[in-house]
Amino acid sequence: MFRSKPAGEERRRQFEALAFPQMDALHNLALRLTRHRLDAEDLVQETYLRAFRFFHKFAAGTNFKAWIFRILINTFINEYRRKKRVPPQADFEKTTLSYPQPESERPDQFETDYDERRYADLFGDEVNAALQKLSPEFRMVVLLCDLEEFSYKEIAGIMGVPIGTVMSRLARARRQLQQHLGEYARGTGVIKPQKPAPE
Amino acid sequence: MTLDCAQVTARAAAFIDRELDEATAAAVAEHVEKCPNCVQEVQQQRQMKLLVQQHARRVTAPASLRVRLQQALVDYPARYGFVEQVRQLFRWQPVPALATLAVLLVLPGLLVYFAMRAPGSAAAGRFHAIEASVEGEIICIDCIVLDELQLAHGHDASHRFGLRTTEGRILTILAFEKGNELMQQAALMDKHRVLVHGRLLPERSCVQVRDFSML
Repeated sequence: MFRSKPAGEERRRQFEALAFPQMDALHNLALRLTRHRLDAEDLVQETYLRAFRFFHKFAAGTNFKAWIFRILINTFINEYRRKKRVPPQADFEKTTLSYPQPESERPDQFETDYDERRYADLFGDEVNAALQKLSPEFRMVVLLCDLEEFSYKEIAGIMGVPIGTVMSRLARARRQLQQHLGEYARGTGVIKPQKPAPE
Repeated sequence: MTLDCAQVTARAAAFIDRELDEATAAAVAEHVEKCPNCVQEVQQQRQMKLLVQQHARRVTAPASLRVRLQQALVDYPARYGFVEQVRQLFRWQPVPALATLAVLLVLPGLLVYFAMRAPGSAAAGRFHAIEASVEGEIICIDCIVLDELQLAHGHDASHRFGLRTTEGRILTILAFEKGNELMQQAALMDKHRVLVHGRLLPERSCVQVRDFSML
């Protein structure tokens, strides 16, 4: 009576047509947030299933990439909190440092059957190492802005914070990055030696 | 618009990301031209952005992930319950969804309507009736049937009249209105050939006599 199978398949096809082009970007961010291959893939899968489940809530014609990134960020934060048993923080801005550092507990271990060279650049050089030293929220905002090239408004939507918070978090994240990179950057001449900026 | 150092510092990131409105961007640019500290802040923000853009390059997702996601999406409906599946089913098909709803609402209504209507008007509604003129003879049903069954003895009570049509069908004469009159006359006059006008109920083998004439 109702062509259930074709309808479901049609829905899945529509979803895949929008979602699969974002796979590299989502996987990349997931990898940088979880720092672990299996966790990253689980996070991407969870993101896709949740997005598929709530696909009807996505308004056609609006920004799908921002929409699915928001789901990934939310999934990451929820999972991260659940796994680490960190109670929800009322004030994100003031508590960014209260996140435990799972990276130190579990060094990056990629399976041997995996192409390790593929990820050598990802965390290998100083810039990426410095990026990994940032707290997840700071890392997120930098990657969303500079790598994925979202606007502040989109980032605000993705992270569920006001635009002003995006702006200040980004500025602080870049300042921290600059501190981590100080020696490296001066050494390679990217940053000219200058007296420190007044705060 | 003029901005002080604190205001410019706060807007340095937005400035290099081109997220400020024109007037504010112009004010920041004007301040930065004259202020070495703020120049440095803006440059550092820009340099960090460039470094991230240059170094934090993307990796390609492994092919196995795509296969895994595709499979997860195909398996998805089985992971969720019946209600979810029904919702999924109708989400993209508003017309069938409304049609189903309409049928579900209307069908019980129709059933109840017919169930209530049926007993009261069974004869009118369910049996078809024909207005007709029938030629035949008035007979006693008991006599005729016993005769046909070749049973010699007669029946016990008085005669029960019926109309045997020329085709041989036996119709019961309903005992009211002209029916009674017909049966009385037939008994008194001993005249059996008759033309009956009335309502025939074929399924019940009955005739409701409206008028008749003896032949």
